[in-house]
Amino acid sequence: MGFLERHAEYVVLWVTLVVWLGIAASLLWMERRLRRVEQQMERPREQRRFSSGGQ
Amino acid sequence: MKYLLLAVGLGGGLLLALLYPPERPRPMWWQVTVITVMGVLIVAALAPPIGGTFADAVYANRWGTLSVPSLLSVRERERFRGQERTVPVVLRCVSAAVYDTALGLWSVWAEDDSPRRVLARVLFPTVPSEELLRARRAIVELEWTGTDTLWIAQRVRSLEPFLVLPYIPGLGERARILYFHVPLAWIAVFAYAIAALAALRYLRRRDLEAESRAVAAAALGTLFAVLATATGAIWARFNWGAFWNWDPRQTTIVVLLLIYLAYFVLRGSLPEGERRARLGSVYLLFAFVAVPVLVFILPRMMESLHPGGKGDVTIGPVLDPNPEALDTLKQVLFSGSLLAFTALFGWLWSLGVRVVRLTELVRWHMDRGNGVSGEAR
Repeated sequence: MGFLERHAEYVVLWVTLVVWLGIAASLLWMERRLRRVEQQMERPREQRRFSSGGQ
Repeated sequence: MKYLLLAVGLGGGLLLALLYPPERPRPMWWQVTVITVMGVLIVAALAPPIGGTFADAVYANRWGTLSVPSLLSVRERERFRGQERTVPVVLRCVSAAVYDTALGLWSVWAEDDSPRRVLARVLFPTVPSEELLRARRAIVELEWTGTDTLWIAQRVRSLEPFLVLPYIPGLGERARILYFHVPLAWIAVFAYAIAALAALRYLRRRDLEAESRAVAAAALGTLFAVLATATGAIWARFNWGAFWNWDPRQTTIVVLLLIYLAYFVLRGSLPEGERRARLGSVYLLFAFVAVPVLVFILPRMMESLHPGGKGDVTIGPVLDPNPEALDTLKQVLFSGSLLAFTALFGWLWSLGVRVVRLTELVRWHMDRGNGVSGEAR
């Protein structure tokens, strides 16, 4: 009986946890990115033009 | 108790999901809470070992001859009769190991973890370890010998386990998918209901925010329905023999998915504007009429491998009022999974609504030559 077969439940647990952490990280990244875009869209147009030059 | 736990799970999830309007970004504490709750659920559902009693092991080997409540449907039980040979049992050794010269095996008397403390003789091919003999609780995989009080130990799975998930005859390790598959299906229905409510709000008030909410909820409902179908298909592969069986439950979910995919085709084929929002919202309202029929009514009117079909004694493991259909620990875990998935839906919905709003806004600016696309990148 191989390692994967003997410890199948722990393999499934770790794979699921890694997948969830990946999803969570991408959600956090998306949330931050969206917030930045929203803030940029909310500012007046002139202000946007000046600040975008320095980025 | 069962319905109270369900209400706490669903209510807590709804509170967390709808604490902020979807247009508002979620604060950091909220995001960390959702990530942690889901992480805890994954560990609690997948890490603890599964173990049953001698009665479970007997039942798993003598399908149909004993009357014990089961989470399986009638047809599923018929298909699985006699297929489960090795069953993990939580036991405590109550005698010293004695070598049986006639059998050529080591013999130990053990009692299980049930309230009745059923005694049985367990045979080991090699001398059992001191740790196993001294353990207050151990999970040992047992093979039936044909006699209910005589078992052959195949493997010691765990010594002194902190938490043990109950064994379900016919499901074994596959029972863990319950905490992912069922909430996904429930949240899909919930998302479609939210989409219909938001569509109704748009039609009554011509509120574009409501339309963004409806689009995002319909997309998420479809995503969750696809995930529920995929997890169900994995379950079906091991319990019913094939990924796809054209079971009434599987067929109706495909029809539902087609109905909602048609909504996105309709919306994509129309130029943006009031007409697209109006037609899309009307379609979403009509589509939602099909949801209770395809999810709750039709699958219960036909014989099905899925629990809760026609002729089934239970209405499914989660809603069955019989307290033995799903025990307290499982119910707590299930309520936790409902909470985690509902909160996750709240987060995804917020992201979806904001993406839809931004897309519309950027398009509106671009159409007027305001040139915001470069800055928004």
